[in-house]
Amino acid sequence: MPRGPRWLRIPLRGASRLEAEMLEEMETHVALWTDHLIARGASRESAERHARARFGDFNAARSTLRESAKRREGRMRRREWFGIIRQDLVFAARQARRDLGATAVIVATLGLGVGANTVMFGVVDRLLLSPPSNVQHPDRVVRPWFVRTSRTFGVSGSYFTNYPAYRALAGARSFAQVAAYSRPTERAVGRGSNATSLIVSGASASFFSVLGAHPAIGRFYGTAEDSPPAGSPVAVVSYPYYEQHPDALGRPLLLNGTPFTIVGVAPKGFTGAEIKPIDAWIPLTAVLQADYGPAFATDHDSYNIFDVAMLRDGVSHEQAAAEASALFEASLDSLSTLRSPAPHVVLSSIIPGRGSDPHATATVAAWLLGVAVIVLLIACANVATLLLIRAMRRSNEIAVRLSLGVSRRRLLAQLVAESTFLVALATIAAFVVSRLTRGVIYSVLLRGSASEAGAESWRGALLIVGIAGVTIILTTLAPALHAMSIDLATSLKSGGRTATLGHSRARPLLAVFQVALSIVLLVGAGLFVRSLQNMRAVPLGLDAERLVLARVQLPSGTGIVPPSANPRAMGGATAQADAFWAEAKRRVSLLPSVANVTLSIGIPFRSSMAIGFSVPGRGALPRFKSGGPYVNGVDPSYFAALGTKVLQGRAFTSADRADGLRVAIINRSLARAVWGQVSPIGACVKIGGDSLPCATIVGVVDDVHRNGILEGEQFQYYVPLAQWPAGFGTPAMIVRSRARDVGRTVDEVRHALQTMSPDQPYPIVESFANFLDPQLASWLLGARMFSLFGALAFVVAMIGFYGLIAHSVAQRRHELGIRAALGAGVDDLVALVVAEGARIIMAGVALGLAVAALIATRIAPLLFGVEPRDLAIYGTIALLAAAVSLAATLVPARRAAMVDPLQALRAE
Amino acid sequence: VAAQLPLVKGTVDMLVLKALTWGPMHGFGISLWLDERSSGALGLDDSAMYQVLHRLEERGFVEADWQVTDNNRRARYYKLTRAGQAHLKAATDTWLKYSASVTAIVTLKGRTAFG
Repeated sequence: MPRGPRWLRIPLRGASRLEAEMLEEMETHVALWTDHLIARGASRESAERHARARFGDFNAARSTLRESAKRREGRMRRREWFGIIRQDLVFAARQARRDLGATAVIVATLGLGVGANTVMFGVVDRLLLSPPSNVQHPDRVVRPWFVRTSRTFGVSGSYFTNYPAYRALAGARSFAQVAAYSRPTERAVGRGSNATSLIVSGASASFFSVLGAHPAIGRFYGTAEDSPPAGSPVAVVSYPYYEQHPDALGRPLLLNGTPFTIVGVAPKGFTGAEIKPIDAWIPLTAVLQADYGPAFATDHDSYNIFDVAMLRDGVSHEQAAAEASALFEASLDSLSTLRSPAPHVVLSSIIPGRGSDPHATATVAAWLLGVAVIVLLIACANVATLLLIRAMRRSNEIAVRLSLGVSRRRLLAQLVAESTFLVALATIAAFVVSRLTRGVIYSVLLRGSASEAGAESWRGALLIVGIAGVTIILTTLAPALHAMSIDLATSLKSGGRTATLGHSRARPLLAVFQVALSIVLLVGAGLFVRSLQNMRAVPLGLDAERLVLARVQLPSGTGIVPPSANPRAMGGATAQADAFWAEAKRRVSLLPSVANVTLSIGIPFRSSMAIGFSVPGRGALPRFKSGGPYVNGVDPSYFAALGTKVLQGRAFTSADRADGLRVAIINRSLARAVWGQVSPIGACVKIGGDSLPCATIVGVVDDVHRNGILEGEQFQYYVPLAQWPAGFGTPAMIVRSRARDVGRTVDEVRHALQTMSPDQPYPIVESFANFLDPQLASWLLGARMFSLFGALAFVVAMIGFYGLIAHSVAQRRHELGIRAALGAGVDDLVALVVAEGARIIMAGVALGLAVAALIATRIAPLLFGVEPRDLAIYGTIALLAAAVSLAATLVPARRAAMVDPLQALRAE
Repeated sequence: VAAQLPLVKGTVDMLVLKALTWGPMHGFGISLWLDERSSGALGLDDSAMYQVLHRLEERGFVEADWQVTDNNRRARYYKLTRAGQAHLKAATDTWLKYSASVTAIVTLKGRTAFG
């Protein structure tokens, strides 16, 4: 009896067939008994009667038996189905184990491809597609983007607004509610050795309800607690802060010397209107009062907060934008703002990818998602190749089974089971890969943004399952089609060897495709790496990589305001502060890792202020495109510490005292714009008003970048810190490290400042690289991720390519054996194999370079200082690919060369 | 013919499976086998035996196939499966333990209250 699934042997039975069989069985039974009894000597009549009697009630038995037979058939069919599936899966597992190497490669390749996709999707989802966590109505919550033309700063668009404008907007009928928040900043918390720092944002009372957040514990503050002049000292902390300080509720948070009572905890994952994590929110009015003084409520000139608003039901974005624009224009100070082009408001989505600011990181992330898809395509092509090779190796077996009458449908089911089994393993691998790499990739791509919320998203899991499903279809298709097309006679006759030749065209094409795609990625990597190098090489006018910034918020009692302060917010006596900074400078200059220390009012890449001056006999200064001129008060060591070149004249010295001759130093751009070819040294400038005494220009220094790595000419001048008007901003300390690695300097400076007195506020010490890195972020991201994925894709493609050549050599053993027998030398055989590989690589590289040249123009805006079709990069990549693939062909080629003609021929 | 014994529930399964340990049989063969070994003392209708056979087939303890008998009749042959063998062994063990206990108790010599 051949065992096996019944439905292959007997056609499916209908109910009538079932009944007929049952009746036949009964009749046979009675007949056999009758025969038996007759043989034992009974008469036919009595034998029949007896046989029927012992059978029981035939008619009653008939219906019960029919029912039980039906039930039995139904159950057995189901069980057989499960049995078949189980059998197929067991078979698939056995196949997988038999070819362990290929299975491992397939699972690893698909796992990497699918896993990378999931992680990248998580990143793009977080950066571009999802609103910040806990926002209830992302379609109706908008962030106003203000476009204006100011005399000082030129045409600009930004989310920045100020308190009076925010209050005016809050009156708009189009909005159900308007909220405002201040830029999150690191602020000192506590005093002395227990002091730390937290990221704190000022938020209006309406902030939480506009976003639709509900407190996890306690309450949010109300409007009464957030009213000018200074609001109430209350705070809402983030959930992570609460988790670290479970007893936080009701306790004071000592911010800048003022205790803020913690009244509530924000919901898990809440990061406000943006996606960077924040530790605490305090009333907006409290922050503005502390940072800008009581004038903030009527100050139209500062731009220091952001709006976020909820549209009223039924109001369109256009209506709301029109009303907001009108209010915005009315709120502008006519002195500082030009009316042309007309100022207006754009209502941006709260979803980061649809915001108004050019978010280069988001764009790069979108490209990287494309990259991940390419890696998956390569992985799929690779797996399809391997499965195809396996199917070919098994074509003899398949032919035998077909000839034994196994249906093609059955065979297909088995191949699907094999793919499903592999994809199931690969899916597990993908989960593992995404788990392992997520942390690293998120920390690179989502640095500083709250990533956890997006990480666990169901979309990611759905994506894995979806991709796995598509992969099943893709990877099954090729071998299945191949199996279906096997010609029995040819395949059996040739022993499964020659039968494959007719079908081998697909595999070289897949290999060409893989090589081409990985070339595209590598070119992308090259372009981004070069862009990053170029960005890093931009001269900034200072040695940013060696510099460390230290700020200390002296208690508000001393009347000191932070360096970013509005110059109008004058303080009182500064003698205490001067003494503090003098002592701080002395202590820090003694540290072993410190090369130089300086104090200055403005900080490159952080804060700057603009004050006009006039040159007697020349009238008003020209208007500068980038605004300014920007002024800074610096002490004598400033230029040496920053590494800024003195081009003419001298730097400040300790002789430039408060009671001495008033002096100034200008930068190169200002010198050229105002004095042209004439030397400005010795010229008189009147700073801040014509009635004031002259300041004599004693030197010209190199331009120092003010905000960006990429920015236009900046017009800057410097006055000695000693001659700086009292109360006009507060100094910060800039430290030059001896070593390029400033980590040690940061620690030493922080310790030195923190231990100056037991009552010392927490010093905020950070490297200058901290300011620059966000500006490099998109290039850094592109360079790292394109390199990572490019290398991954290339490795996967090379594995596929190697497999192809190795398989080809195995297939051609017979032919190679004949060639060897006919006198072909080792070199000839190697050349034969290498030539085969070279054809594929050349086609792949050519195709890849062509596609890269087409696509690269699209990423040109993301590049810096490199042509999208840079010949050197394209050439290097092509050479690299050629070299590696040559190495990949050499191993199989050597094996081909060692073919023993006798053995190869005997194998027939 | 001796008086027929009433059947204890569940024992028919065991008897049918036991019959099949001798090799594949059709329904008639099984009933004849049982009849001969019990001298006809088992009160089992043949129709009831078929219900048992169908149930055993449903549970995968036996497999059935149409074959030709020695005298050229088409008959449905039943064969013990591996699962059937295991089931038979378990059922037999249980039965032996059960019947031994029952036998031991009911054959105890009686005692008087003052024994």
